[in-house]
Amino acid sequence: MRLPDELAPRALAYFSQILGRDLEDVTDLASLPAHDLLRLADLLPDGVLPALVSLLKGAGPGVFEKLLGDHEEENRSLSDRFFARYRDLVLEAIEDQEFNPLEAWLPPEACQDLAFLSSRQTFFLRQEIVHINEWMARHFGLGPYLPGSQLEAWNDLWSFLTRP
Amino acid sequence: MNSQTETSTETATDSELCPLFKVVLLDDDEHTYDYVVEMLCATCNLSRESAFRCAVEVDLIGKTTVFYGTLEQCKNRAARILAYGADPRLPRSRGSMKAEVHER
Repeated sequence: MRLPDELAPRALAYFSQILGRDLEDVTDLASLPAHDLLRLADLLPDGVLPALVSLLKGAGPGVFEKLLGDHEEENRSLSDRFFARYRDLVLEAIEDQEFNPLEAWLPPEACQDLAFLSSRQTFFLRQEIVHINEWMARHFGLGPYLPGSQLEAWNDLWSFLTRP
Repeated sequence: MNSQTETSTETATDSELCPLFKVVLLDDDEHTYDYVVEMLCATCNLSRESAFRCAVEVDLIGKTTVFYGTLEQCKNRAARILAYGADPRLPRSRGSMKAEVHER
């Protein structure tokens, strides 16, 4: 996600206030030493971290090195904290065993679009057979399939959806 | 003269014995952070933490190195990435991410 251009000046003004230093444009932000950039990130609320990352996009390879603390030991804890907070913010929580990815991301109505469906073949084949059985039975009345029969299930689904 | 020749011969031999290549993952707007992390853990055996840092790097600067090895190993990893398929979380995603094998 990229921050809309009109929001960039407001974000920079906010960052300037937090850091106590004037940041007139993205170049000023990207030019901060690693320690200052990471200190800024540390002072920001979690919800603002994506805006910071968005502003840094395209600012050059040096920016990522700065987020790593420029490999300086004194920056390590700040860097680790930044990545941990940003990870918790942008990644899904690890799902429990009850979570069925097919139910979440392969809506049966979308399967009528065969181009879409074919783009999901590798995703389907990676799923556990218990989830495939649950999904196939609920939406198409197919199955059950034995463990390791993902490809057979896929072929049956394809045949079912393309039957005349 | 002789010692220079021997040195260059040794260097060439080392390079032949241990060719070092890398797999570079390229950014696009059809894949989520979750996909990149899951895919890199599965195809390149990265830890979740390392994979997340790669995801941030590819998002920020457009590319990230995800694997080092021999040419054969790198071709294999790149092929796995290219075969991983679309990101199921994004309806507009219709294919895998792109990866290239580069000499280090």
